[in-house]
Amino acid sequence: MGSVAFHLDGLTKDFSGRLAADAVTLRVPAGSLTGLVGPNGAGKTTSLAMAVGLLRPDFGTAYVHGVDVWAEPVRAKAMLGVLPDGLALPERLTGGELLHYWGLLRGMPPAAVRDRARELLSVLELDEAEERGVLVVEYSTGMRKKIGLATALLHNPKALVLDEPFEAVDPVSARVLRRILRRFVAAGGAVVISSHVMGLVEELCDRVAIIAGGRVLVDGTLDEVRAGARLEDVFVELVGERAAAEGELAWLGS
Amino acid sequence: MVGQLIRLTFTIRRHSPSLRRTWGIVLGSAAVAATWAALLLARPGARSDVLTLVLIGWFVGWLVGPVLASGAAVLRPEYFTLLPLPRRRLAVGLFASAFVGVGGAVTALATPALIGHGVRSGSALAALVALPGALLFLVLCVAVSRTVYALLGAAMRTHVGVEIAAVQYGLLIATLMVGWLIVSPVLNAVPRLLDEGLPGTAMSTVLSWTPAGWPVRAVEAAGAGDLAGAAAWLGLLAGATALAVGAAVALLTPYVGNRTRRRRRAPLGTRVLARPGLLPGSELGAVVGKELRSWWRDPWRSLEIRTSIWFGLFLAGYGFIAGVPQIAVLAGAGVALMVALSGANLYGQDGTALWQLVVAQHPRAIRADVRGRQLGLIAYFGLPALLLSGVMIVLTGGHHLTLPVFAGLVALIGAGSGVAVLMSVLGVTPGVDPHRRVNATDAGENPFVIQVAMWLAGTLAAPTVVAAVFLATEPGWLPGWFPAATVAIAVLNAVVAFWGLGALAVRQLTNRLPETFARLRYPGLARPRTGAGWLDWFAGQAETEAVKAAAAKAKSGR
Repeated sequence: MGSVAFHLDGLTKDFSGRLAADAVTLRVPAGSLTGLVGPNGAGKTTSLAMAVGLLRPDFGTAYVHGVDVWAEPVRAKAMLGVLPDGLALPERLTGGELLHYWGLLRGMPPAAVRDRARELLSVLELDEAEERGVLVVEYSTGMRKKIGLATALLHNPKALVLDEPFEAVDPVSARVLRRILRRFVAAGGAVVISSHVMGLVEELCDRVAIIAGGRVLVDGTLDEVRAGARLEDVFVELVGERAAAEGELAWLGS
Repeated sequence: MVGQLIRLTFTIRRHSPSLRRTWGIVLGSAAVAATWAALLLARPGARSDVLTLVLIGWFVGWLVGPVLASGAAVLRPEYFTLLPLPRRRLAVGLFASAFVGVGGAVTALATPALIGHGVRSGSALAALVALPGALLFLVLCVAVSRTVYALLGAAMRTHVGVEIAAVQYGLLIATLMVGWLIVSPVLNAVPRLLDEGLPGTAMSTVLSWTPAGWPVRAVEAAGAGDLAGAAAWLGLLAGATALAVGAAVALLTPYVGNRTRRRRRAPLGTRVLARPGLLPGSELGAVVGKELRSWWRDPWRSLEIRTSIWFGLFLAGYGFIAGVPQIAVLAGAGVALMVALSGANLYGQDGTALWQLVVAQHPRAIRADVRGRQLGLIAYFGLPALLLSGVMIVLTGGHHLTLPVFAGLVALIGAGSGVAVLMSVLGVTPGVDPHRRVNATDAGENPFVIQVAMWLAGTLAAPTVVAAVFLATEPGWLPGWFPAATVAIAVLNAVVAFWGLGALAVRQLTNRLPETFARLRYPGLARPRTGAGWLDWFAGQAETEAVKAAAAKAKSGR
């Protein structure tokens, strides 16, 4: 394992008596793409929110290249690019205006913001909507994901944390997205994505962690975790599957 | 199906906060009692005028009720979009469910006053005609109310709709604040009204042509033996009711179109603000640009601005009615006061977008975010405030009031901008996330915080207001330098409040950034980390109120 770029260290969160994350620990090496998979309500989003500084953990912390996210937030967050799932954006701006605002707020020089924003909009195929002056509130779900990704990339972070980045993104854009992520990793960046889609994780990620009930059940390289089987089978075996009873939903389609 | 929808309404109502229901019952019962008392106390000659006025009261109550009482639409048509029901039948069912509740009950107790009117006139026929009259009037009230409410919901999709909502809110706030101005002229008029009816026939004729006058006229005609006349007035009422019901039902069918209209041109403000050199390429420039665009383009934000302007206008109107037109010059002060109220939940209004500031955390970014929002408020409320008062000064000829009024405005706007951001941080209250908003009240509001904001803004501007009042009343003993001193006080007052409260907001946001975000993202779940400071104490109070408000909203289906 190379140097650890992003380290979740014993992150724990208790939501009024329910442990949403129970000592979640994960090491993401530089130059790797880690997939965080788990069933609904497993604690993926909560763990990532704590790791990027959006939700204060009850215990534990996270480090970006050794900088503690909760002790030195300003330094740590400058190295992080974040795409949260399902949160609002400044909705009444166009994509270009949003990136311009965001870059300046990040303290970037205006010229760099302008050039990068233009390039990102064109690579992510949002430039046509920009020309029509479409506001973010009018974007489709997939477009929202893409503009969110653009905000995560704009300041050229060292580590990317993306919550469900491929959800609702069309196949063509998904290819673009995969290409971007691979290039980022090849240049030494670290990426964590969460996803439900096993096939996607198998194809894209070199490391994987399975999380359920707020705990990391297993993590390692893809091949270590799979151990010769399919990721989905390993996942189901670990997480458990409700046995289908004889005659269950027999009326369906009859 | 109608039965099931009504049962569902009852179930939801049972879960709505009992305090509001209690108040509804108390006020409603008082209104019923007043209706019957008016009928019984009025002299025979005045009775129809009085009854018409009372029924107008009920009608207007139903018109503004939806704005007043959140929870008016217990069942939203959208809930039922996917059910395999004929849309029209569903709408009729939803309309029927609108009668369920305190409002429907008390109105059903009040409209029979018409029957009482018929009985007292001594004609059995008049009493008989009053029966359908009372029933039709009840249905008309509910139908018009539902139509207005549905229009309000549709409102936020169009500019006209935003304007209608703003007029209603403006009238409401103006009435709550200075309605007492016209209470005394009205109260003085009551005994005379009960004795003599309305002064002059013109007004009485006009009122009898309003929907509230029709059933009264029908009863009168029947009492006088004019059957054709009674039938005609009843027919008019029935026709209007049918129209209103038709409109309500049409608007109650689930809306499945776009929330926003398809864009045909670039949004307003695109070119002007993008002009290079207009805004600095810094963090502050970024936030100011975003705020200016958002105030301009977001219907929920423009509703705040439009409401404040209408509030100012109604303030002036009340002044005229009460016989003190000088009040009109304070129209701008109404707008200025609204800075603190309208801006009291800026972060909540942006939904969960605060995550951006959290992940971009930097002292410069946080400072820029607070200051930029303050400047945005000043630009969008300050300008209308100054303009409105300026126009009123010219119209009323109160030129000698120019200096004190403008001094007060400057102080109020400065204080308001400080109070607004501080309250926005301390009292952050989640609403519906912006891209899912439908109704005018979806932006999230915290009554506790709004109260505090109003008093705080007023108190902070007090030094200037006191000086301005002295100046306006022009006591001869004021020294010659007093006008200049008032201006200095106003500017100092504004700057200190702008800077000081803004700095407090920055400090609190810096110390509690993730916690502030958590209150939007996980309302009630992530307990705020409370320290010993009074800022944290206040934030805790506001959080409790916000959770209460959110729970009430969720339970009543809004």
